[in-house]
Amino acid sequence: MSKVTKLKGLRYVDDKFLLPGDHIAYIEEFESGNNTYEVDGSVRSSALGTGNFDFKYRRVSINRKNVATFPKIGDELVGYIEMLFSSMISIRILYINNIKSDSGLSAIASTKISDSGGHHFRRDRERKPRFVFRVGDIVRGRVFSLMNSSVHATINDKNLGVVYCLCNNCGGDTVKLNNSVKCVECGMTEDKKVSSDFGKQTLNLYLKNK
Amino acid sequence: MSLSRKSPIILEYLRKRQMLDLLTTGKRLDGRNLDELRKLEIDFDVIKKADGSAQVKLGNSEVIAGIKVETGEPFEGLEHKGALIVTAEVLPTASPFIEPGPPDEDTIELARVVDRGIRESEMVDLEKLVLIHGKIVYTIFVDCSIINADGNLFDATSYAVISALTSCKLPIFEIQDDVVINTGNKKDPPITTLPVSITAIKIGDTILLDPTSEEESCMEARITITTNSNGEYTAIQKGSTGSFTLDQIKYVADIARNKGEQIREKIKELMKS
Amino acid sequence: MNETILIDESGKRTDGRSIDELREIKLTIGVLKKANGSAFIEFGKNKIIVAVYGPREVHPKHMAQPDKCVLRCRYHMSPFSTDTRKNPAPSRREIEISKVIREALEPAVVLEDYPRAAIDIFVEVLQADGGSRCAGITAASVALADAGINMRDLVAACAAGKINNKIALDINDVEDKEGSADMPVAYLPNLEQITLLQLDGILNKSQFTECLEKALQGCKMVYEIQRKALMEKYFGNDLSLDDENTEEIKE
Repeated sequence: MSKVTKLKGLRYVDDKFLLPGDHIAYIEEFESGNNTYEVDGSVRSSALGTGNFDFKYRRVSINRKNVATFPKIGDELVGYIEMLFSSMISIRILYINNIKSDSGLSAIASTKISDSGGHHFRRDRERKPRFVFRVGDIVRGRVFSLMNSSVHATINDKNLGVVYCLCNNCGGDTVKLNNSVKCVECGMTEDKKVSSDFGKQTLNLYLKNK
Repeated sequence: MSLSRKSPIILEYLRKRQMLDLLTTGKRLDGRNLDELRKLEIDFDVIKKADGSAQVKLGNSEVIAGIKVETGEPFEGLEHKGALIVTAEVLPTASPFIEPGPPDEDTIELARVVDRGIRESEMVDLEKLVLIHGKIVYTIFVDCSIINADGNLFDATSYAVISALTSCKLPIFEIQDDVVINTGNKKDPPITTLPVSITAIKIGDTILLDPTSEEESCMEARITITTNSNGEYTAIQKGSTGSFTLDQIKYVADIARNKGEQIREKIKELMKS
Repeated sequence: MNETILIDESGKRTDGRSIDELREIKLTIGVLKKANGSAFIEFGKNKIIVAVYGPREVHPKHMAQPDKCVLRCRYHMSPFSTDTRKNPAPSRREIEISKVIREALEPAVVLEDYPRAAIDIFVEVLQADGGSRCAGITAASVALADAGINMRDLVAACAAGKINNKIALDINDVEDKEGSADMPVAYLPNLEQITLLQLDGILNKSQFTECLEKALQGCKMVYEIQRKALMEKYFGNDLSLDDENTEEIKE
């Protein structure tokens, strides 16, 4: 049963079904939260979903039923590298939060990897790897900014970075070795910022996820 | 405009390998056997404004064929025959990779292969559709709109065209004082045979019938074989960049007759109900 | 005056409707697997399929807007959709209708939420029966909602016109050709804004007001159908629950 709350003679139902344009509340009663907008003193829904009233902060939002796949801050992206710049890569997005996206949009990510990115380099004794990125590598990133209308992603975390790649030398299958990948065919090794779940299996999971 | 966009190299490669691994076990991604066709559904007379129409669903591929009958001049060199024109358009609703605009080479190939299957099998006895020899003949337009593309558009479109043609009613035109008059009456079209096309593709060394768009994106070669009601071959089109061996062609040619007969029975059965 | 009789003595029109009656509308949502959003509408004899793709990248790239998304619309009629065969190449009429449909829908879409992207709306008329632009707008706005695109409101569209000197709702093909005026209107029912208004034909001042008001009534009726279709598609299993809720509020 849905929750009905009585407040100063007004009743708000949390699970009421709403369509775009539906009046939810007046601005004196509630602030407009996610997936809502204000017009002429009333808060209206801009999505298809159920209302969600936060009485503590007097804010109303919509739990949406369906959403167009468009990158938002915090989303996890998987895509392939389409272009390389001196210290940036451009990622063509293929999956947003594990859902396939045919949008053809791109994200940019910095290739400067800090120590905090899940890697512990012993600075004096071990050389700091120079990570290599190549066009075609499959990369996972997280959106942290949508500044200037472009999607900025980071690959600086344990589970982020290259998810899978083929050997640049012979095109063979590769396996992960600490901070590098090794080709099983020709044995060539390259330093890469790899994600913790690097490997073909991970990508096969995505391929099944149409 | 293209039906399958080239995906990035690694993904393409992995998807193909995944598919090949599965194919060696004799199964396909959607669980079908190698020579199993998808479910065929046909709705007749869906467009009331057309003289005949059919909506075909082959798996997720969906095609509407509509027939318009007019009068006009015959084609040059074919003065003793009515004109039959088959066109096809893959609508931009069909898949995210199709852009609106004039048909590209794939779509034109599609329309021409379907047209050839109908024309060369002499499915419609066009010689019966002449009003004045060399001057005025029946012109039958068969226009196909592909509203959902999920592979094997050749067969889906071909089934839509033959279903629409067999179920259509031709308006009866008469010549009175050198003017063409539509009498308002209708007659059945002169159908002689039911040409049915079967398309197969090759991935690795495996031959698959009725491919989905996912399978088509991995294919090396494609072949479409049309047979008529007598089990004779009437049109063949080999497509895509790969090649077939003689044995593979013979195998597909054989199977095209058997499966073609099944489809023919199915269409007849659907038309009765 | 030998005007065709479109309304008989009992007030019935050629297809048996009264002057305040809409044609039968059937709206199905999510008919196309590959599209982000889709709808199929049967509006009388009109059969229209609408697909929405996007938000996605813009081609060619220079068309992209840095601050908002580009809405593109293509209205197209299949060759077999009309009485005489229609050439499949886009005509001037189709290009104009594509434009007015786009402009009718744009105020409802929150374009700012999808910068540098494009949303494509493909309206394909499989069978035309007068009022196809209104049916197209109605289906397109539902398809946009089905695609999960942020919208300020749905857009409902309906035409009214003058036949045999009477103002009638929802003009069909015959009435469009034989009648004396046709006015298609698109409306944002919650925000009470008119986003499409066209007129061809002659109306005097009072007829004009009556016609516009009648069209808006029609839009509200169409909106109820849109609402019902979306509710059934997305909340079908819980709808009975919602009824209880609504009643509780009304108490």
